Amino acid sequence: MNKIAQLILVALIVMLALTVWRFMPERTGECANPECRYDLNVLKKTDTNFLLQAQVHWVKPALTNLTALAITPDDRIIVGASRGIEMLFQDGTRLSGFPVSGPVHCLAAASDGGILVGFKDHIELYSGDGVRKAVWKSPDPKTVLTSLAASSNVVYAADHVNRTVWRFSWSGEVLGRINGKDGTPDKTGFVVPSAFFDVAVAADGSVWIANPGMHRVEHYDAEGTYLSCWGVESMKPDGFCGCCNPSNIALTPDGDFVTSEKHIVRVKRYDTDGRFSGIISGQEEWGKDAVGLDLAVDSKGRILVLDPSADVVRIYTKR
Amino acid sequence: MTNGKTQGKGASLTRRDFLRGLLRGVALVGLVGLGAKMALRRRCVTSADPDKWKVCGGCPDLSFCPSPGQPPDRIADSTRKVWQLDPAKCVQCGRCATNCVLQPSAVKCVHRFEMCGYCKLCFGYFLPGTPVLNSGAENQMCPTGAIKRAFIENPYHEYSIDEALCIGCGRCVKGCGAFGNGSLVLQVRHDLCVNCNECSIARHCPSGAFRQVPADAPRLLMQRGQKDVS
Repeated sequence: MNKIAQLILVALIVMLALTVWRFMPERTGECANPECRYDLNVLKKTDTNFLLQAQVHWVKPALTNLTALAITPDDRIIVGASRGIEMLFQDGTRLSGFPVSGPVHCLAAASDGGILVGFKDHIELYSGDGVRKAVWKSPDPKTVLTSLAASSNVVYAADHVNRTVWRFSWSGEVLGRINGKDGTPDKTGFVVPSAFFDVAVAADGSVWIANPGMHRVEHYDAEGTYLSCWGVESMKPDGFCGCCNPSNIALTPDGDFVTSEKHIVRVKRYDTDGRFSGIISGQEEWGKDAVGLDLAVDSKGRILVLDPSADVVRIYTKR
Repeated sequence: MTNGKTQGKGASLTRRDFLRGLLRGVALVGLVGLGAKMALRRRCVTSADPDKWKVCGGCPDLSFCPSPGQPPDRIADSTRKVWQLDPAKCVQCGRCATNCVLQPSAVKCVHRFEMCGYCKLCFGYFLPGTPVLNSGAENQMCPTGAIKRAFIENPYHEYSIDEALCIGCGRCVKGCGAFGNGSLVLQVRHDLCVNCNECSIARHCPSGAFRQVPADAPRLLMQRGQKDVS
């Protein structure tokens, strides 16, 4: 009898639990709908097998609302913000700073110590101590600049609205434009669904341009002739996912590539042939809405990543 | 022997008592469950006077409602309020599809074409990891095939919503927001919404994304840059 009573008691408890459960899902914070099984957290989880060992430290500039990052040939950090420019040593010591006329969109360092500042539609050239030396004419009324890169002869400016990389002389004349259609295999041109369109100059003077909508990085010579490309669309760590990635690129002194991505936020390294080397920083280190991770690499191969959400520059060093 | 009979009779009585108690217990549990269900569901407050009829959201099924589809009025003015969903707060939990008094829901996916990147690989349209970018049902994020994909020029594609098929589940919105520009958003369609006094979805929305807005400005569309500039 005791056994039957126990069984009945268990049955009653189960019934009670089922009754409570019937009313619980709608009152909890969890999703009761099977349609929301599409879990972004799973997709965003970094595969630790691909993580590269790197040490990181932070540099916090005095400026806030950081928008752009560059590095000088002597490894000083330059950051741009909504209304100013600041230069720092890599230990965080402030070197100098000066105001500018508007929100800084992009930056590049000149070999003579000058600073190229890209605003929405034009470029200005400043000396290292903040004296404006030149204002270059806007190449197009619709221009919105997103990136600058400079070689000894040419300044490249990525314009995301015109989906063009403008080639300027150092005196500010437009030498030409790279539209990504001529000579490329599919002639699609640059596909730039969002305001992230980056350009980087290699040591040999050639230029690498991110084509984010096509999920690849394209190589052009100094005259703008297409040479090659690498990159695949994939949700896997070795590819670029989302509508438009990589958002930013940089080259290391030995010719490797560093890329940053949005959506699934990660900073990755590829070798000189575009083969995936590993993940420097995964989504877990960043806020879920982190975007605009501008990149720079110094002469010693240290990787600098702008974190606009925290207004800091992260510096990654090989362990 | 006597002891044995007494024990047997006693045992029989105990079992009967026990079964009676069990039945009472089950009935009690049932009553508690029913009471809880009634307490958690609002009562239908439809007035007997047709002039005062408003669809209140208390009905489990609109077929029971004497006044389905008869909202108080549809005159757009700033004093009258309508329910709308704030895309900046929406977490695409899927409850818009299941908790509206209408089936399919009055919440639909709305496409902001001016924000769209016309991507070849649209994460509002394709499931993550889709190997081949074609319109095969197994590749589509939308469970009802409500998003139409049209080729414009290489590599651009246009995506449009067939609202008759859209159930407001928000899966496409989640995909677009997570991997794209966020041009797909959920909105209450006021040509369908019966404007319940207490919106049934709002009561279940986990992020508090539903609020009442003036009827002459019934949309809450995310501004460019509100989520991010990507």
